[in-house]
Amino acid sequence: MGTAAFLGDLLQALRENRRAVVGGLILTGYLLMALVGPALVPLDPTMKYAERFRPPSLAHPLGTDYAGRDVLAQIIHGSRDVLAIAFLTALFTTAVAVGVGTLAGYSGGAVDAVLMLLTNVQLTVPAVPVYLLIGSVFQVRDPIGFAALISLWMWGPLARAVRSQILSLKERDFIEAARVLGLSTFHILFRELFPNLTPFVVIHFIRIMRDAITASVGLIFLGLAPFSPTNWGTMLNLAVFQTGAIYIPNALHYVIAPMAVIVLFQLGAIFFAHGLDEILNPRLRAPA
Amino acid sequence: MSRGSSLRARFFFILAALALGLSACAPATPAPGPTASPTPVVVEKVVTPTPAPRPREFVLGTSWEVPPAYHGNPFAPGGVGGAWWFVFQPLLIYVPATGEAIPSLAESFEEAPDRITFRLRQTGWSDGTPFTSKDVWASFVLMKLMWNWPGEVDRVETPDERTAVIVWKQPLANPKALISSAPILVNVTAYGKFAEEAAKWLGQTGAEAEEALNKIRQEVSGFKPEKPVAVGPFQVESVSASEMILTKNPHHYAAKNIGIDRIRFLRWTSNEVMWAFHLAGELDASHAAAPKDVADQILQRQPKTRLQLVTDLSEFALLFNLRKAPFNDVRFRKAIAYLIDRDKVREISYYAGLTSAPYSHGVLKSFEEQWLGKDFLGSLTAYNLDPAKAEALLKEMGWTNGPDGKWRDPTGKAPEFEILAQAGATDWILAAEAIATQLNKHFQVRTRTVEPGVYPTTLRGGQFDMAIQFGSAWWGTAHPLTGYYRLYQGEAAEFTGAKDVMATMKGPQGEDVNVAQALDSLLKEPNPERQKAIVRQLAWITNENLPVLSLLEKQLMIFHVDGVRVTGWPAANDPLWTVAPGAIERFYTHLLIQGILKPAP
Repeated sequence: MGTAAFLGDLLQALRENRRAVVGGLILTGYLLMALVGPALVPLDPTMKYAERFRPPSLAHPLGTDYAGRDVLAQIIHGSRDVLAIAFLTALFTTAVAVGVGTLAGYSGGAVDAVLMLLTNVQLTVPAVPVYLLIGSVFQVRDPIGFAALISLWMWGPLARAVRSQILSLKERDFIEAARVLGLSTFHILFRELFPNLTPFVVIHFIRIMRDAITASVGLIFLGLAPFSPTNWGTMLNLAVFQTGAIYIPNALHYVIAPMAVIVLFQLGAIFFAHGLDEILNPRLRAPA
Repeated sequence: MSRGSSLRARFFFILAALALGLSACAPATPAPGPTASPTPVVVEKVVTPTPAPRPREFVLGTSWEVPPAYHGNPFAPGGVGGAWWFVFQPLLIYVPATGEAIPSLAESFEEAPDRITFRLRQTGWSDGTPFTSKDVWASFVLMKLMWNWPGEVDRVETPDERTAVIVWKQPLANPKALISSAPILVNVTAYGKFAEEAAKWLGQTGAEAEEALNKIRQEVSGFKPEKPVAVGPFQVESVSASEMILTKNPHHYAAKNIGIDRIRFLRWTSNEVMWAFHLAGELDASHAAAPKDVADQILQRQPKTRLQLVTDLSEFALLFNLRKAPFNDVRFRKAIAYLIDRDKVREISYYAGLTSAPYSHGVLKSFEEQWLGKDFLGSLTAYNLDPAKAEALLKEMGWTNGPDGKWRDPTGKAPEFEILAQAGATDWILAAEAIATQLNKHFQVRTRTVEPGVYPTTLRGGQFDMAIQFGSAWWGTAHPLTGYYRLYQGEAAEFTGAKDVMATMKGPQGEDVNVAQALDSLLKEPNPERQKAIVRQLAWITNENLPVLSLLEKQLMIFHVDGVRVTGWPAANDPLWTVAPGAIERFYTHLLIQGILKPAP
């Protein structure tokens, strides 16, 4: 089957899966918000104390924050960094995990033992002390560094899962046939094995994006990454802990707004990942 | 069957099953038995037990080490916790607003230029041993051994059991404030062996003495009694992860005068937890700094809560890392000062504070008039928000303004700066964020929060550009000496690097001023007018060189509830409130001992 035909089938399947469609629409909305939102809605950082915690209105659809600044503009401007960190984390994590998992599963023997030992270390040692150690040596200054830091201790579960998939796939007849035909390892890996892994990896990619958002908030407050006032997690933390908005009836919109965008993003990611799973996993696919 | 009616049927089925289930749980109704001869009915007398009297308690918030780490040694890390000023008591209480000294563990005292002689009260430690002058001696010996403090004390003499004489190395500007901040911590029964041993070696120099002192320090640190032995009015009864309970020390001289039976501490993990306790009416007092709207909510929801503002004798400041460029250039520091609207920072971060603008001279705002006066203040550079002045200074340094409005250094690079703030310190984080927002129009500036455990280490190690910290702080002493010591010799100087790079500075007349010598002169100067002259010299140096940019004078926000569990708080204008800065529990304890604070009827 050609790539175009595969994509066509995929789109058709996506259209028929409501969960995937809803998830896809939500994620597309976020993508658009990050790409074009900042150009459409300017962010004025000027502090206007007298206008703090104004309720939602036409001028401020999501109200104002503790310093009288527009909450909607902060959410839109924060989306770029949040999504960039989520995407880059997923990219780095997936790349490392697929590399380690494939190498371990396909090579077997000593290579497999060493790589799985490393994976097990990563799975058993808690992430926070490692982040603290690395964060004290290297300063994180941009989304790339931030994503690299999060990825560093996130690839283990996916690497193990990929290894299992490879171990299973490499015993299949079509791989045996490829070997008998004398096809190169490169061909077997990239033309035979990886296409079969793609759906599995894509689903994990979206799940990792979702987890990265949660992890990034934690790292900001451990001081391992610069404090970004428009990061949604930071906004939520400012609302709940620093400014006490959670205790002020007039200010509840400031608590709810960042919470809602984080929850909606998670929901979109979950729907889309599950929808994809249903479409791409033959065992979950509904009979035609 | 339609889908709707199917759902309804399921709903009623579940309801019926639930009702059946609940009825099965109900006590069985006795079935009517066969008619029988009436049996005598025994009517049991219902006795309502008299409820145990509710302990008359005072509920506060504080922090402590969670058991099993908790212990009672004040000299070992993690010991005693927030119970400190309830279980330990100073010889006198100093009232900064009036300069009055109220006898506390001492019943009277006499001052001479080189000493204070205390007549001690007849009181007892919680272990039943009497309080004597030897305990005063042991406490000061161990403070010197373990903390190298207070350095001003030469020795403690004990002519008899009830007389203790504290002898200074030289006359001091404000000795009573120092004594007020040094509670009596240990009795000779438990700690005498350490004090005796330490006294042999203290004051001696050389490797042998240092080795011996280190050995004693290790022994003291390793001593971990379960609870502290109290000489103060309360003793530790129990400690858990969530509560610490103190009960009265029965041997204390004021035990009968104190109407409160116990102190209950709730765990103070962060300010917002204290806000929640106040909103729920669980606390009688705390000084959890709160944004204006939160403070308003607390006062509105708990009408018996009052808010007292009293100077904390400290200020927040923006610390510069004087070891690194461009902060090592005073012109750059001045440019930063001209780019920050400090009143905006105050509004956002600590609305109850007093803005330090337009100066940054190291004297607290509320003491400006007393120490500096209007004429002198007029001679200082005023740092109001003035981007034009900042621009002139930056251009003088060879900086250029880029098309994006951001400044470039002489190499053409647009530098990125970080402002550090301690994680969990809500007001500091908001101050950092408010400054970063203002400076972002001119530079790339971001805030970074650092865990409290590593914050001082990070600053001491010079791993920062700018940071929020206490600048000048006079905790408990109400004297500029403490602030200037902090800025040029103490903790703030270690953070900024001022200790090394600002050792000798130009004074107002262009004279060379050795800052350490000026501080020493201020320490020894008893004449108020001559003290003022030294303070003005240091104020000028501080304002013109900006080792830190003062942001605001902190005012303690003391939320206190009158008429629920306790009553009798001092009136808003009572100078006693000024005992609170530096150790608010010392203030609460004083009110209880004096019988000012009583159980609510």
